[in-house]
Amino acid sequence: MAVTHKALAPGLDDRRARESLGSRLLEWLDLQMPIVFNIPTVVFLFGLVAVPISIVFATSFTDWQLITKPDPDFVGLDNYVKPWSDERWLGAIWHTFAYAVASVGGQFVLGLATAMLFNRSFAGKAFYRSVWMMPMVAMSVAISLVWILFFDNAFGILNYGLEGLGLSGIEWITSPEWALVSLIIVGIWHHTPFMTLILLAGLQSLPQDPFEAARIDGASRWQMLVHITLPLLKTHIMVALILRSIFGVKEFDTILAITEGGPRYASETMNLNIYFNAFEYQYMGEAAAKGVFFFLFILCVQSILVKLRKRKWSY
Amino acid sequence: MSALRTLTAAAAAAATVLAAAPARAEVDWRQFEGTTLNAAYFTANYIDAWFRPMAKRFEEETGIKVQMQVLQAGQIRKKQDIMLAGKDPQLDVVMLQMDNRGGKLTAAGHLEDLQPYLDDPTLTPAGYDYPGDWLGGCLNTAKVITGQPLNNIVWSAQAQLLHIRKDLFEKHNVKVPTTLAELEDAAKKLTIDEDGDGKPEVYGFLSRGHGRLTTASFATYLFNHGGSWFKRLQDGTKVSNLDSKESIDAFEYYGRLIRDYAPESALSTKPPQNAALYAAGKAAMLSALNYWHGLADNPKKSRIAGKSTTILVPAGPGGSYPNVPTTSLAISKYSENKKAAWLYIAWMTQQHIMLEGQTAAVPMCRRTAWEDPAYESPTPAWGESAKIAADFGIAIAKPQAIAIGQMRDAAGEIVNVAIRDGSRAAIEAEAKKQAAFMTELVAETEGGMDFAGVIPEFAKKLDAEMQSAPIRAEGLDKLGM
Repeated sequence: MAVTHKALAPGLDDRRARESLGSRLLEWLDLQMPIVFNIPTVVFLFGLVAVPISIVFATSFTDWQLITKPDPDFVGLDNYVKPWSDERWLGAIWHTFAYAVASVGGQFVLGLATAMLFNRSFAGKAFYRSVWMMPMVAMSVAISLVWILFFDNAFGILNYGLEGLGLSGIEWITSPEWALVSLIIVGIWHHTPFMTLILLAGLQSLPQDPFEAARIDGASRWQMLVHITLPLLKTHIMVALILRSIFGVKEFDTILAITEGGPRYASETMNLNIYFNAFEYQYMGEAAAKGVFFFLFILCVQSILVKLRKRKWSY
Repeated sequence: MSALRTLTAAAAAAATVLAAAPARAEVDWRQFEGTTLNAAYFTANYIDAWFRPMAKRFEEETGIKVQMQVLQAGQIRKKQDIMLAGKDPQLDVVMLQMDNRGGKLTAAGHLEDLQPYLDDPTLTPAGYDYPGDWLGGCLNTAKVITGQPLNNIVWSAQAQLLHIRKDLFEKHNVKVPTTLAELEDAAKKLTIDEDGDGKPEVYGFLSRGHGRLTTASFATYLFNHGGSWFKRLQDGTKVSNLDSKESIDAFEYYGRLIRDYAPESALSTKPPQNAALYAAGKAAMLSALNYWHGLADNPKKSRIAGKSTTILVPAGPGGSYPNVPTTSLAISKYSENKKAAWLYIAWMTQQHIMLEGQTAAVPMCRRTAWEDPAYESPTPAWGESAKIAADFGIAIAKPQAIAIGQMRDAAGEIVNVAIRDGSRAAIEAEAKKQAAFMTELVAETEGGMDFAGVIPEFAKKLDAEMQSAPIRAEGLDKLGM
């Protein structure tokens, strides 16, 4: 008997082939899930972080001047050596360090004090807390313009207050001696609420048992602060310090808006110096080299703080 | 029959007119209909007063749309620089001040040579008359490097003038200054502390004292003292002249005026804040661009409306050199719509269009715009001083150099010392330091370039008659007698 083969419906072969391809693809995806799901993130990071950093790094070895030297030549390490004999750049490094340490220090002290205050119960707490947080949500340039008015030597409210107390007015943002101090004051005012927010979250998450035990043992408030609150809060403190230190080193908009790095470069920080080199003077090669250094500087600050947190401050 | 005769006569008349017309072809204003131009402009009062309404009319007449990106001057300059360096074809029309970045952009070859367009009768109207109808001071500023092609059309002549409170000069019978010595005397007399609390209610003098911005206001005082940003040595080398005796005299004088007769905040205030203080009645004199008169004279925004006018910055030991930081329009070398862009520039800078700007209080570079009977200046002295400045001024607002940003910062440093310290020794030391830095920068960045206008060899010194013409025009010449 002759075997008869039932003819397959037209297109069935193709469909089976497609199903098999589809199922194979699904199976592969299933196995490679961690890789596949990370592809968008990797592409994003590569395109927006790795590529620009590579371009900045490559540019740092050239003498590219935006207008007059559009076709740059390779100059080796010149751009990495030259800034170290430039007083203005050395000053900018010091100003960056001074600004970050002083403003973050001030923010921490005030932030801890206010976090502890808002951790207590008192009438109108929600209202006062909201008012306290307002600077954090204000736009940098807008608050800078207001502070410029406050700092005005002749018509500003700060000198008006000082003179009302019988003191002489201060040249806040017009003297090299006070310009950086003025910016630190603005930095503390602007960013303390962020510190408060993180530390308050930390305080509210602390276990109550150690405090109860300490109270039973007759510990004073100061002893509880030093021996219980701060040690338990160390993780939050370090997170707040790491974040604010990085942002403090990078502070740009308020400095540009209030003093533009002056007078006499007395408040010029590293990133302002880089900005002026790149976009005012248009030395892209030199600015790129300084940018690489600045990037490494932030990386170092961050690494030190993270290591400190891991090695000494963990509990 | 009558209609036919009329038609025939009209045709004959038209034929006669056509035959009598010059051989020059007419500009077909609609030849680039449908094109869109991208223009990068500074924020200024003339944008709303003139550019925006004219862009609308230009589109109606030519079918070319002009997309204007208007940003604060510092930002738009950076944007233009980056687009030009990147050879971006999206940028067509560039607004710039030749005395600021003109040299740099010319040296880099980023601006299109406009002469072929100017010579093309299909692109430039027959009666355009460039440079014939342009004021001398404007033309002084158009070319900053020797041998530079015509790569911009200078259209506006904002001038650094002295705004004065007529009412205060009249009330206190103070001589309106024609010399720098008289200016200091007037500033002293008009620094008025009515309640005796040691804080003047009215300051005698107000001018820029903030870093790099000072160069624009300080320039006239520098040149009027006989100083200059640069000088040439006998072998032709360009070096900084800021450490010369005359330049240091100028720094000392300018610093003293601000320190003694301006509010203590002058070191941090910028031009708009100075203009606002003046409009609030806090100063008797303001050394600033002439367009700030619009704010001072606006009754809705000013307490001194109708009480202010402008005169030329007084003459000094070195003469009188009005400072005209003009504004130009240029075409990007990388534009894909160069002809349409030129059509726009040519249309905007026609006589009747510039006259409209002139009547909107935008000081223009065409002589006919100033001399048109339809034009009436805001005050007699404003018209007189602005026109003299536009006619005889020079582009000295900034140290013309490739590394202009650093040069301005360097000069700003000396001004800062002159205001805050003020001692001759301190000014000399700072000037010496900054002059050496500037000379070194010139050597590094300007090999083979010859900046015209480094020293105002071509500039005409104003005589005493011309210097006092605005004061006479306002009827203030008898004061202080």
